[in-house]
Amino acid sequence: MPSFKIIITACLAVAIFSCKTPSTLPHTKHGGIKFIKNEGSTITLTTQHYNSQLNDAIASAEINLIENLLYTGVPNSNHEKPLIRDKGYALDCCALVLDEFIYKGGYKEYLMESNVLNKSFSNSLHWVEIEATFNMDGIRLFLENKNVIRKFGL
Amino acid sequence: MWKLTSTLYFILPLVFLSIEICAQNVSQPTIMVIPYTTQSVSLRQAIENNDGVRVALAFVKESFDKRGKNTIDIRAKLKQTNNNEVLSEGQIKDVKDEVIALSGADIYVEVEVKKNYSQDGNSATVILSAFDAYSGESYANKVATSPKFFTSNFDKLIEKAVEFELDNFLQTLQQKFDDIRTNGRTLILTFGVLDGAKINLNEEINNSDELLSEVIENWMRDNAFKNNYHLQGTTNSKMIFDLVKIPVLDEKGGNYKVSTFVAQIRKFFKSINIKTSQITQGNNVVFTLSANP
Repeated sequence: MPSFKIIITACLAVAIFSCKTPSTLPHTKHGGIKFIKNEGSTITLTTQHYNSQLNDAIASAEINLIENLLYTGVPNSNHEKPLIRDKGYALDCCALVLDEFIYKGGYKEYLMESNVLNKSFSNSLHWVEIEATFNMDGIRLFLENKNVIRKFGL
Repeated sequence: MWKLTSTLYFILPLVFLSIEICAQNVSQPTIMVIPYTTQSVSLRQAIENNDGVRVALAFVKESFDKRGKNTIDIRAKLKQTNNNEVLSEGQIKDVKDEVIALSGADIYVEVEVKKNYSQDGNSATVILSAFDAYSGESYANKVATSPKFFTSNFDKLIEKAVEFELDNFLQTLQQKFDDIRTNGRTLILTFGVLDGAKINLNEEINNSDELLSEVIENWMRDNAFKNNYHLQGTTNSKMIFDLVKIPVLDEKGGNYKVSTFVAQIRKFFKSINIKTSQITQGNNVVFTLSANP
């Protein structure tokens, strides 16, 4: 009789485990971004990304864009140089601010538009291509006020 | 104990506040945006006779304002120099230098506008160049060209061109500022012997084994910021350092002034029994050496 209980418990555990939502994959930055246009102090870019959930895939794509704007810059655009020139220093001094801003949705305050251009599902992963517009003056001002980057000047 | 704690509560914020104020008190370089001119065109003519130049100037000035950096207005300065009778048409070649010198600007940004006509549409090219007002050292350059449109509205094309490259230009300029902060600002030092003074820069000094020029160079090596200097050349009567780095900030976080470094040099010459007089203009310092009576 006790063995029957064990079997039932094991079955339940397997059932619960199989119903569990797949966990969000850790974010990976890549340079596959494309400059679309600039208007005033805004920049519009596209990129592709993936994740286990559609919303997470969109967030990963947005994060990829913001990471490129902050740390890499976008060639052939109005922001060829990164906003943060010394990534090491910025992470040393302001890790929490940057974590909140990049990975916990802080950047959304400066995300003017984000549209999914294409999406697909394969190998248990959602793939998306998005086009997003960022307010660059706003982002720069935020980083200056939080002392992540220095204000313009000496 | 309670008294000590309450005193600390009162004093500590004041200390932090004073540090903050001190950090913010560093004077920033002043910037003036001017049009590019050829020798035969005065600054006033360049501004008044070209709508495109005015649009480009306004746009560049606005972008500095956006970054919290007010600029010196060229038109106001032209009026001032005109009032001072500096601006006369017969002195066209020197007017630009005069305006820059009299404005007190540390950096000037030159804006050149070109209108491009073609059968498959018109475009505008704007060349932005930033220079140190005293040394002429180039800080940043960008060439911005608008896309081609079938329009003769060049103001809009100029706006498009400037809009695209302005952030990149300002980022390059900021990179230069960061470099100056890290590696120091540049001074140009000239040491010349007063006419008739019995001093030879290539003679031994005070019965030592060293020539006067060597003693000066050694001092420069020891006192230049991060020992960074460059000696352009030495003759018997002249010695020119075209690059001597000095720090931007002093030990207390305030501005390190050129006059502080100049005073150090003067004291050094006094210590080796040489009299000096000097003229300082911006980061250009000329010392005249003569023997002590």
